[in-house]
Amino acid sequence: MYEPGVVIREVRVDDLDSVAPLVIRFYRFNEEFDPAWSTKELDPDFVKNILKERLESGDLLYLAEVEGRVVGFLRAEIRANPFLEEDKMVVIKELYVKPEYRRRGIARRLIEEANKALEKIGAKILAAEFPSLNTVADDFYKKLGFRRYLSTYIREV
Amino acid sequence: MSEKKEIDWYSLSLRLHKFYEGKIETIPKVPVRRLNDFAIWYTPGVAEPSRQISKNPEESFEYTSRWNTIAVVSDGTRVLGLGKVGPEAAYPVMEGKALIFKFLGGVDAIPLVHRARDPEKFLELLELIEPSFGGINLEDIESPKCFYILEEARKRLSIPVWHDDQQGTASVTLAGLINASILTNRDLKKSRIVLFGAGAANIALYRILKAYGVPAENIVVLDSKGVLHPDRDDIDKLMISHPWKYKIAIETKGGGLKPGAGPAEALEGADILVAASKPGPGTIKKEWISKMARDPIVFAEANPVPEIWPWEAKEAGAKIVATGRSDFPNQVNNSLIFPAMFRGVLDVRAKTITDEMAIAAAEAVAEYARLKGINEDYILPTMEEWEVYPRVAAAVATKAVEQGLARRTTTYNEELERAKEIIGRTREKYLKLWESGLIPKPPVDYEER
Repeated sequence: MYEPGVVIREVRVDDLDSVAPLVIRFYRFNEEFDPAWSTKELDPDFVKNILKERLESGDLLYLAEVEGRVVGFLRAEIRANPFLEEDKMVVIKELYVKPEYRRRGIARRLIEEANKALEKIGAKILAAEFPSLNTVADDFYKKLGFRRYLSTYIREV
Repeated sequence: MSEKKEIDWYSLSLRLHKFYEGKIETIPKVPVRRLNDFAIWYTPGVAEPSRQISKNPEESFEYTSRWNTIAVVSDGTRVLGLGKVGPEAAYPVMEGKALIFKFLGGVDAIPLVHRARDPEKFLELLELIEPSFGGINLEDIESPKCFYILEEARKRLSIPVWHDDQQGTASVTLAGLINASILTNRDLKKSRIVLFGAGAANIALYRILKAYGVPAENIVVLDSKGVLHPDRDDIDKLMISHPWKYKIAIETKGGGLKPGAGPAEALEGADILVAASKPGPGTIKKEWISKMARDPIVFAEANPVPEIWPWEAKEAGAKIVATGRSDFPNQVNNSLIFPAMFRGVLDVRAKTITDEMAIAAAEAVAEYARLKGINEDYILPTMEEWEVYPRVAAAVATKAVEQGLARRTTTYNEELERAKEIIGRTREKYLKLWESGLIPKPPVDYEER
């Protein structure tokens, strides 16, 4: 489903003011599912600076735009493990679409964009990380053909 | 209101509940002249209707009292303003509802209180008891569980399911809004409507207003944290914890207001306010109403004390004020709808109650008031005007037939006559019992005014 008027493109430094609030919302959302994901008091400027560093260090950042307004965003990292046959993969770390723009396939298109990066770096695996208890994300990625791959267990002291 | 002496309804009620030991009982409606008659109504004769129904379960609506019997179901999680009082404590309330169903609608209603608080268990219970009943009236269930249970029950059951706190209040409110709009020369479908409070009544009203033809963007809904808005801080949390509020926020786009807007901003220039929130006075402020559009309409439905006193609302400029109270003009009273709603759907053996049927009921109530002559202090009929009930029943029944959701067909006039006959006969039977003294006189009473 391709919604007319939705533009998906790479994030530039001058987009970061519009992107930062979406990142904050992404973490606030995940906080709902697991207190271990509780966020700090997040200042948009602080978030913006982190994003800038990550953009410069080679992370993949895409945004969705409607009539010049940023309505969705995705950040992925390139992860390496030299011991594995598949020694590189793209890992989606953050993905958020504003509520009023959901159910239009925007998140799916952002993911497709990240998927295109695989070929460029010679990787075959696209991964997504989110809190285990986030059932919304769990359902969403399963629907897009993702499967369980890595488990992270924590013990709080 | 110039009250001489406040009646102590609580102690009177307690005393009389004990005296009468409950409020309803079952009474045969077939000839029992001699012992042999039981061979018709019970064994061996009853085996034949049983065989017929076994071949076709739908015949249970023809050969048994199922067609006119509903369950008044509650888990006791939100009883009146009392909260989670438990199923046993909900019983007298359900029994009271059953009394009104019978008296005003000729509907046989059975109180059914239970311990299935878990929504899935609750739904399973409804599915399991469906064969006994022609309809289900849900009552006094906490929010937001009540939305899920009603939605799911409507899907899973092939008999009408109604939650009075949602559809009942919403329908009678719509009836009042239709007439109030006429009196203030408004097009309801083009009015800006503010719903204050996002509980069962207003969330259902939102849905019914949309079905009536009001665009979602004309509506603003506020909960205790302010306007339901797609950019609200807790919006993603709502998606999980309260999808109904979430949906409203998205569809209304927060009425074009800023994310943090409160009632003062929401009411600026608004045509209509429907408050169904927490008891006042002072929940709604006069200053907010004074900023509304010309001749604004204010419904303050909280009980026992409305969100704002009617005279305060009027002083602030409200043209028409309605409340939930019988001692003020324009009482928004569910009892105007639910007995007749079920009379109508039961008479055509309807499979469900749609929002369109609720709207038909609201329009019938509004039309009846217009025939009597509406004015600022009379936008809705009162419970004493029982001629309204057959009209509502007829409107609902014909809508059910029109929508292809009735097991039996009928016409408006046919149902009007049938409803009059059934309700009239119930009253006559009751009056005979009362006049004969078989229903004893109350040992204590209140002074009639």
